Amino acid sequence: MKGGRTSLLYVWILLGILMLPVAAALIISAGAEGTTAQLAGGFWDRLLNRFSEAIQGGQTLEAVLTSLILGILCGGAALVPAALLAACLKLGFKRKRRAMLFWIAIAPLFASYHLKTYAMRMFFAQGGPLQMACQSIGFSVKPLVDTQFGVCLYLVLAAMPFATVIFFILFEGIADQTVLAARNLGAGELRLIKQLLMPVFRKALFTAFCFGFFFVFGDSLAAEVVGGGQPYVIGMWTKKFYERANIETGAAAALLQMLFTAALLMLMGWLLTKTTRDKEQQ
Amino acid sequence: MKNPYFWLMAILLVVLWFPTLCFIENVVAGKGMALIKIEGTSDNSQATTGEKEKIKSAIGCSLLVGVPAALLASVIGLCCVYILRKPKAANLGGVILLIPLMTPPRAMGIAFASLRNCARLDPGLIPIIMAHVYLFLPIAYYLHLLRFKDLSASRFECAQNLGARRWQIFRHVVLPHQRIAFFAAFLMCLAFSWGEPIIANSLAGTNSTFAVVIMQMMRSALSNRVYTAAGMSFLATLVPVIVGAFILWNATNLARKEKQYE
Repeated sequence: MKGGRTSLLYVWILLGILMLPVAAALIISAGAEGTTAQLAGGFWDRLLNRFSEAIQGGQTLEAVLTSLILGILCGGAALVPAALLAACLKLGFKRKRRAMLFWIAIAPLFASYHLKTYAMRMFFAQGGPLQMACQSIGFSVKPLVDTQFGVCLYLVLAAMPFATVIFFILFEGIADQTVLAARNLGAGELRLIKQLLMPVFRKALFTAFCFGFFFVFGDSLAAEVVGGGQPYVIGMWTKKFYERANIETGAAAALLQMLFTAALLMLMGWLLTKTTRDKEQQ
Repeated sequence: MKNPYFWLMAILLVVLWFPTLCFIENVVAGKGMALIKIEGTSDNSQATTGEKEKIKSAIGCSLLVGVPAALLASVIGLCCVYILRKPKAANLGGVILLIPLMTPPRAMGIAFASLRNCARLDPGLIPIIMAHVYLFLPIAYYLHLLRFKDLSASRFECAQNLGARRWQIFRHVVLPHQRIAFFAAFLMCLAFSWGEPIIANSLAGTNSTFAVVIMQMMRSALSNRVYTAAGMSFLATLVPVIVGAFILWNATNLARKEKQYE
């Protein structure tokens, strides 16, 4: 009992350490430095002033809404190929080969994201590999560079490994003997997917979506590089203040972005817990 | 191929590797400059001495940041796995450790710049090391956890029954078992640190890391040599990842075999 309490104490200490940058952003955004006339007043007044300065700084609502829509669309769209990939790994390969293929599948996650983004710009560009490949089979395609569709497509690809990891880990929970037994009893591949993988897929769906969603929501590089500055996302909004060397308003904007992300994370966690509880009660 | 899943799997893998393959293809063909035009292009294929020096110093900075950050992240990750091994703490800790992964990198960069200002640290490598440890701690933690799950609970019980203290259990039971994961986590964190430009850019002063230098080069003037440098950097990231993944994969297979014999 005592050991359990000590472990939980460590968890809270860890949380405290992880919150240090957030606390620093809070202190800086309420700092007394700056030239704004609104700086009179206490800590909270200054903080609220900075927040309103950041929000009025331009196109805040547009940035938040665009990021939300992109997150939902791309995070959701990444689930389908990711689930397919994880299902292929589970049903098509033996354990040893499966583990190797899994690492191959998620290796792009570890490669530098900004280089990948530039690579994607090249891939979508006028005269790039995509256009050349389409031309060689008789299709004429407009370059996807500087288009919102190109950004979405890239974000789906980038979010896919996150969802693949979640699906793969949960599909690994199904014993290989169970799959073998089902096959020996005459179950076809469709039945295997429907009766073995689907229940697990449903469980993992929300978690996998959350990972993809938060990745897309916080990203701004794809819109900057692949989209050439379009669509206007929340990361670009935060960056704008920082680039103007206005650290106080930049910190306020970053804090707002982090708080918004945390609120979404908590909402999603609450939804997940509630759904699980409801199902257990049923 | 008799396996019906093989081709679907192959197609999906190619889709996942698109950006990587495309980048390598462009670097090898040396035609990146002609395709990508963001702000301007430069045809100079010869790097100036100043640029060479800048790149050399950036590589040095990247290693100076990456090695300690990866080591620290791996050590702290291992400690976290050990102290949060009770189920309730492990669940809660696992969720809390997702914070650095879920936070938008741009906002994180600004938050760390604020932390640096609060701590009155000069722009330089130490704030970047701190930020990278923070950022890559979840990766180290989850890689350690992957290996830690293979450690049977009976070994802990045996050690406790023999009168071992916490530190002794850590030193003689956990550490030897986690050695492989430690090395794998170190390699993976090093790869991440090598290729991370956004937070490093927010915190770096005059000493930029290699990823920051390449990002700046790509944004200002694009040429084949920029692409070659970027391609080399990209491949350098993949090597530790592949080695780390292979080590973990091999260790997990061995652990499974041991369990089967038991």
